[in-house]
Amino acid sequence: MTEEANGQGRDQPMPSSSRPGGGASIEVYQFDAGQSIVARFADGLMDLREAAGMMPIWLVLAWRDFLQQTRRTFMGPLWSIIGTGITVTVLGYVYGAVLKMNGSTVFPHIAAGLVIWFFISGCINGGLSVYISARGVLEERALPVAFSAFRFVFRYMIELIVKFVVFALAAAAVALPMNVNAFLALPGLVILILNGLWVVLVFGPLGARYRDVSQVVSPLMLIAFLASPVLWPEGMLGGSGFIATFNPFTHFLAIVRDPLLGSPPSMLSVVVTLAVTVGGSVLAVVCHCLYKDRIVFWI
Amino acid sequence: MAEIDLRDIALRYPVYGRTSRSVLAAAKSVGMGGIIRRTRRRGVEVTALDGISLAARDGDRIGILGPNGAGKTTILKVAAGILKPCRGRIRRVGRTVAVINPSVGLDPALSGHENIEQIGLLYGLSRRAIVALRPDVEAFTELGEFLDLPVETYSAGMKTRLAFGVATAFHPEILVADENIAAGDAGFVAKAQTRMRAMMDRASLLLLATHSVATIKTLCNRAILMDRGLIVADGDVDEIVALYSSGATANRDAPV
Repeated sequence: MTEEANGQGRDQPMPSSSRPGGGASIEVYQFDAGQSIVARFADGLMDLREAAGMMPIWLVLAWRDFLQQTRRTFMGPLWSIIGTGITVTVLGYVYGAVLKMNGSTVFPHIAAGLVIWFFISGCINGGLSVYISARGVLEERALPVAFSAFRFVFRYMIELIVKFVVFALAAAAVALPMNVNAFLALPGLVILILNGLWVVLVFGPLGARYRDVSQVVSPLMLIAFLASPVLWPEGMLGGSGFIATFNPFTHFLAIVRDPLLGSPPSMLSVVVTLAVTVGGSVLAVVCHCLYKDRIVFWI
Repeated sequence: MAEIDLRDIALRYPVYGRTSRSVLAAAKSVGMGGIIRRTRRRGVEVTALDGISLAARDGDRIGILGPNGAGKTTILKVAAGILKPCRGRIRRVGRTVAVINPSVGLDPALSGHENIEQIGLLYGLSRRAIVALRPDVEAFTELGEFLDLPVETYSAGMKTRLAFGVATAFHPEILVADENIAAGDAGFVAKAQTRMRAMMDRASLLLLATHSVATIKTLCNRAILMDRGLIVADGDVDEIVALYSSGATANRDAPV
């Protein structure tokens, strides 16, 4: 089919306004399966834009999804702090002893590392099943496809922020000397979340179409966890430092954690994470534009 | 002001993980549902719609009849914008609400009230507007105290009441509904019909797929008969119902 600009020349006049949403406005929906690749990308970008425009809605729903996990529990969302707190305490003692680390740095180091890692692995593992779990929305409502992805990432962002309480407690417990560099963690956090977005937009369709991927990725994420400086400090690798340098996760941990522990992140970490953000975002847009309409057939 | 214009719509469902030849051979001989095909490039696919054109205007209350697997639900999902076809063009004007499958659309862990709020938010309503809808939904669904319980405690019919009540409370200009009114009890069916008629008084468009000839006769002013992904007949309700009841679509060897 070759009907690029054929939409206009039909028996019904085109309405002049097509304001989406809201009250008495006219809502127009148009789709042409024979659209050109350019139109398809425009459509995909529009989907992302519309989904972004629904921010007040997915923020509310993300918050509810977060509360939903601990529904009917006595402690409610406090569990996500308690659980992380226990993990940090135990691993802090064990790894502090094994690595002969100074007690005053090991707890904040591990607390920040784990909290960041939970976000990273949550986006990767959960991203693979994001659309599969969002069946109810995708199969029943004609919403922008990216809506479910945004909602998911922001649920993990809320969790990330809540769990940072554990870091604050650990830092307070050991009277960690923090300095003005700590503010640099905020841009780091923004970069981290932007990467969560592209990861979910890329892994979402991939995991929905190829169910084997998540089976492969889960064990790989355990390896990545142990091989990345989440629990152990990068400096302890000694002559094998390249293991951490060539591991992108190292840099994502560094841009948020290093400032919190008192030093600005290295230039290398900043450059690597920014490059990954740009590359990943381009990949995400391409993936989304090409596959967003197919996802509902895959779930 | 509402309209739906579907032009030459074709849609194929991909089938994954069921590629054995025996499944294909068996499915072909049944003579029901969409046409199953196997291509080298795309694997096994079920052709659910095979070139459908449908134009509907304000005031059209279209009932869709047809045997199981004729493509009724699929055409509804295409019209609602949930599924994108692989061929054809769609143009739709008017605020649209779809009720396809209440058990999919409702969150089982949330209460009835929470579901009302969540669906309202998804349709872009403000919280105040949603709160304003509550008495209407409460009165229509007659679910009473159940609205405070999680939806997983509801029966299928109760879920239908809730999903349908919420969808129609939004005053859509276009309502796309599948089967489900029939899942309610007699009292609910009567109420649903009254509600839809009231909705239609405000000049809107209805697309309703059902097996219930009685529902179509009371609610619709136009009917289409589908079979094997095609519209076999389109026109007056009584005519189409007669055609449907005569078994014109049963076990035909090849699509028209």
